[in-house]
Amino acid sequence: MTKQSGLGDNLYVDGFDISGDTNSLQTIGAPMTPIDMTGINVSAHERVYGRRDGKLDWTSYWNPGPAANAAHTVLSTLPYTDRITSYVRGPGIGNPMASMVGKQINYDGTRAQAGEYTFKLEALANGFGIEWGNQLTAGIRTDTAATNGASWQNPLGNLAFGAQAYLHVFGFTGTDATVTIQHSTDNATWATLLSFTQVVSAPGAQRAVISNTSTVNQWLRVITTTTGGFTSLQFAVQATVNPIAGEAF
Amino acid sequence: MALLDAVGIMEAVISDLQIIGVFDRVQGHEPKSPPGKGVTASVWLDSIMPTPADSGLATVSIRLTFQVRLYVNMQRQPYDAIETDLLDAASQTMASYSGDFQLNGMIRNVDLLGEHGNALSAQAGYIEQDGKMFRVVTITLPLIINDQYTEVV
Repeated sequence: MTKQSGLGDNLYVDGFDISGDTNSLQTIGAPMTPIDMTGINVSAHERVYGRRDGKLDWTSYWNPGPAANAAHTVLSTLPYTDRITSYVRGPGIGNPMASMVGKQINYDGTRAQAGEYTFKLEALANGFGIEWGNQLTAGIRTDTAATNGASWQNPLGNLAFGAQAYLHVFGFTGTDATVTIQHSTDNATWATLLSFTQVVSAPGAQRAVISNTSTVNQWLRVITTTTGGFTSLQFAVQATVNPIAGEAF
Repeated sequence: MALLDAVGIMEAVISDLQIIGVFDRVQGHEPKSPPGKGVTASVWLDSIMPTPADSGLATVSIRLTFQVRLYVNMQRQPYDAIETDLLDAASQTMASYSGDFQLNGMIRNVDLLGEHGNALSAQAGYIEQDGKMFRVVTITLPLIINDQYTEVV
């Protein structure tokens, strides 16, 4: 892979795709809050890592709708509850994606002299930091029935340090659907890695984890299953496979 | 993503000229021969360019610019009326686009105030066509249109 631009990116908030109404992202940040522990007997700073954090700042256009994913419809509510926000670096299985559970802090509009009307948004992590991972769906995937998706091979191979995953559900028609991440050592024999909470409506978003001592084999794929049936499920999945032991949130 | 409605947009641009009622003729092209008597308006495409400040993360919005040129024969009498007729026609033209800045829903807006480059503006001058001199006003008509292209790797 070579250097890339950010053309063709996506931004999802709680199961809404607001990419078209997003002008730019100013920060996709993972500050590590260093703690200064400089002794009096040294000449340079000594630091250790403090708490994880996460921050997403972006600029949105004014779009009052009527589409359900219009920026004003999604962002003006300023909920007190957490929102799951995800930045997609070009839709594609295996491509980078960063997700965060956090609080939307503001929705600040500016009407410029020449008529531009834009909004500044800030989301700060709550409980976990921002997590970079890989798309297990090519951006938004649409299943019309239970489906085994295409697989992705982790270049780091088989690991044993657990994983975290994010799911955005943009649309759903049917009774129920379950989104599951499977893993495999050989891209042939599959086992469940983790399953998200059953989907019965949209939009929505979830975060799921397995313990940081769990085995995560190198091949990953997303499958959808159902008991009551569905005819349409639009969703996106990110997996963050921990590369080292002891990751804690 | 819907393709640009080139015919619809051109018709809307021309329609806003026709309803003013000051032009003896309105053409959707640069004149091929010297315009006739009275005040003539001609419209043609000038440029198309992406506008980063209006584009989404994976979509490209564009600024579509037309030239609208108003012509009066420089030898038409009375001579003093040439300037006032052109000024009146240019002013009413700009008012027409300001008063219909979404071209009846066809576009996001006419770039009236220069959000992205030159604003709606008019420049007076002279043009010679086939040996005849014309007093003209050329109006730059920039149109902002949302989400015309999709970015795909």
